[in-house]
Amino acid sequence: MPPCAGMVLDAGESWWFVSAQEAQWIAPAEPVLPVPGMVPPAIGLVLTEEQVATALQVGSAPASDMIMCMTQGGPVALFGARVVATGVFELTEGQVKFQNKSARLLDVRQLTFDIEAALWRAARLGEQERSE
Amino acid sequence: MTKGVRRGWFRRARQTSKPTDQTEVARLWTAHLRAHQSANHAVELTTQLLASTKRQQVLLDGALDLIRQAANRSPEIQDPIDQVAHNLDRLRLIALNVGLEGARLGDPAGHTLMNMADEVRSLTERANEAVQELRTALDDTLSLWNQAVHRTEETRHAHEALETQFGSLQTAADNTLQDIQPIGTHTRSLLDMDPHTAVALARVTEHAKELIQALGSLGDHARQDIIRSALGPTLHPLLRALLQIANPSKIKPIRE
Repeated sequence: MPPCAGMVLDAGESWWFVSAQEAQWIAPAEPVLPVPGMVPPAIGLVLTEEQVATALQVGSAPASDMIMCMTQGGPVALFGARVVATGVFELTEGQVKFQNKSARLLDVRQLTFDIEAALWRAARLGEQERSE
Repeated sequence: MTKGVRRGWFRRARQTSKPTDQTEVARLWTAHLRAHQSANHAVELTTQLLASTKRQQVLLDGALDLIRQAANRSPEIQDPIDQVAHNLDRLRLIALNVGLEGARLGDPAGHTLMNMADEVRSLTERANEAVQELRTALDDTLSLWNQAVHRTEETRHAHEALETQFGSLQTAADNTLQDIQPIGTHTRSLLDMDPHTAVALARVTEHAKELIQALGSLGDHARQDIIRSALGPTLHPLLRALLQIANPSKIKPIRE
């Protein structure tokens, strides 16, 4: 696999790698507006750079930054992870090595799809319950 | 001693069944004088102590003000440190974003950017560590300042109590002095004698005793003519003085 540009995140319990295709920039963390009915790891919405982004909690590390990503579903802000390094890394079997640690590839696009799917399922379930 | 011509001490000595001991009277007056002097000294000392305590109080107040001012100026140091930390954090973010852009450009176009970003990021991390150390040192210093304020306040309170106690001591010394003065007045009226006379009489008595003792020590073996020639010039005026005291109307006063 060719070298992959991106960033390594320390998310507390685990380390993640986010490719530069998805990760756009790193910004100081903004306050998250909680939205009822959101499915974890989505925790709410955040306003940054005149954009409304979905806030995702990807770890439990005390971080003062958020990682802004762009997906097909729109902008996404990652919380709970600290950027350890940026650069070009060897991505092997869905993970990169950094400082003798493995960082698994975080597929943000897939994550947002999963969240959306979960939201749809929940909405459908609600409709069914109401019809019954 | 002859009747009718005696005055003062001699008459009193004859009239009272128990003759007053001059030495005891002198001791009494000496003790009184000493007590008076000591009380006076105590009053002076307590006044000086009170004055120096007040001066120390002023100095303590000054020191307390200075320490409080120093403690109150901590935000002037903390705010710039916070600003530096904030700016360093921004710089770190910029470095990370530059690194991300460099990674996106790939080698070799983004190589320089990535290197620069790494260098800046490591510098900001080191600077952040230094800022944290500075914060810890400042917190420790602030804690010490606060302790200093607390202890100085305690010292000040203790000093206030000391001042009150010195005030009470001064009052007690004043009272002692005032109480000693009537003792002197009453003693003077009771003994019909001033302290200086009493002390002088006591001294004369002591000297007389010593003279008699010294004369006794000459013994019988000494030649009388030598004793007379040696002691005559001294003892002759003494004898005249004693006779003058005993019978002032018959003996002419000594004129030297």
